[in-house]
Amino acid sequence: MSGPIIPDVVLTDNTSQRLPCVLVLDGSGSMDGQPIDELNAGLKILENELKNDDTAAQRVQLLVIRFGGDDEVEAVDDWKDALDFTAPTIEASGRTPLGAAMQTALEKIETQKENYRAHDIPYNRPWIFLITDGEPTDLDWEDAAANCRRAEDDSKVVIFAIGTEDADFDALKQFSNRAPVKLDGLKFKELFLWLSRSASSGSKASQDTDVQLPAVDWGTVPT
Amino acid sequence: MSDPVTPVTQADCWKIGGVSVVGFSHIDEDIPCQDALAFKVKDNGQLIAAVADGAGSARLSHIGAQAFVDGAVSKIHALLGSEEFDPENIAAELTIAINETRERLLVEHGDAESNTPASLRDFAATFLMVVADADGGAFFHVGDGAGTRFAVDDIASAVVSKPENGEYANETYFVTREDWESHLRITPFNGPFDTILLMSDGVTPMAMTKGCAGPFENFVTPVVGYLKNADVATGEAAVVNTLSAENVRAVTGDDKTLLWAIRTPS
Repeated sequence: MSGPIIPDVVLTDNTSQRLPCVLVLDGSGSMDGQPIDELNAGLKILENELKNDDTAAQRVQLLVIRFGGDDEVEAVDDWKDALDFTAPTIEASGRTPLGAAMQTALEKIETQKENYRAHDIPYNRPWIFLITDGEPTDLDWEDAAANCRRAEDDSKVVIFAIGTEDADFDALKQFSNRAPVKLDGLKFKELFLWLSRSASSGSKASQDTDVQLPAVDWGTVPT
Repeated sequence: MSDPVTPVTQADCWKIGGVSVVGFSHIDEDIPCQDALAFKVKDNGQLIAAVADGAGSARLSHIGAQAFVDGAVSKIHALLGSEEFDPENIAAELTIAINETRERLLVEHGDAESNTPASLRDFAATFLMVVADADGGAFFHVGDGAGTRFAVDDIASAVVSKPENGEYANETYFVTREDWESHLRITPFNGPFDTILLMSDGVTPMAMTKGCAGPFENFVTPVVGYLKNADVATGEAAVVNTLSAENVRAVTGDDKTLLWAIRTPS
């Protein structure tokens, strides 16, 4: 660049702004085999893509919630900045406590918002990505689904529900005001590439603008 | 016969400059710079300066941003006289100026023939103004961006007009809202100080500390030091180049406006 430039000036982002993203991942028995392998490969892509994006690496914050086992829901790790995120290996066994997993995601987000506010950290509207191949097995999943829709209505969160071919789309529709998307085959890698690009866009959203999500090339909206 | 001598007024005791630099994402998407700035100084040394940041989602916000700063600075410049500085009085006049500008924008840009009448929303912009002299002044602020006044040898004592956002970082308040007057914040200040900075939200992440608590010393000290010793044109060129540097891309893709008023020894 020609012309004068101010020497010794430090140009860093001092805001610590964050975009919290929760991945709610199906680790039930029906995911065993190639589906869970592809999902885990997709997580690795997410890790690498976000780390290669200077802004997203600092701003996107991830929490992975796995559901499966004996109606078990667990946060695989604490919230991690994308810069420090290591893709976990999700194991597949047991049932599909989808409602409890989504309820946990909502609660984790509200706790994290309190944390941000306590430390003067600005944040974007949190995102939840739900990925499943089945139907809910917990009894009160419909209550959790209603809580999810209410949270969206109250602008607390944005929820993306994604199902594989055999997922229960009638149930998935109840977890979000957006139509669920059906994954084409096992395009988990394409899905996670899209997810990382979406999070990257979301982390850079300027004032009063809608986040422009990239085109979905990994699935369709079932009619 | 001796050479005529230009009288030195209090207005000469400010070194004032400002730049708006188009954001990286605006360049990529072929969107104009939506930030604007304006300033005037009265002979008695009273400074009126303003910056505005047009909303990315509003199609005419670059026009709105410029109209709001021009309208406000002209109105307050005409208002100020020798009477005592009164922030409430200035706020009342500013309110009239902004409401007049809102009406004028609709008249001038409402084009019935093209079937695309403008709405106020099209001109959405934040607004930040400072009115000050050597002894003190006040910030008048709607939405995000930040204003600060400080002495370079005592940055810790800076006075700051902080951004007002909604719950989320990309939500803020615009002077085109129906309830904009309820979001007008006044931050009075007095001395001692030698520097006033106004900035849009593209600059705050670099020029201010976390939470916009105060100026970020590793940014403002070299910047103000440079501007103090450079002529205004060189200073403006240097700030443009600095805010266009490639390493700013990771901080923000947004437009970046910085306006400075630095007291020089009289």
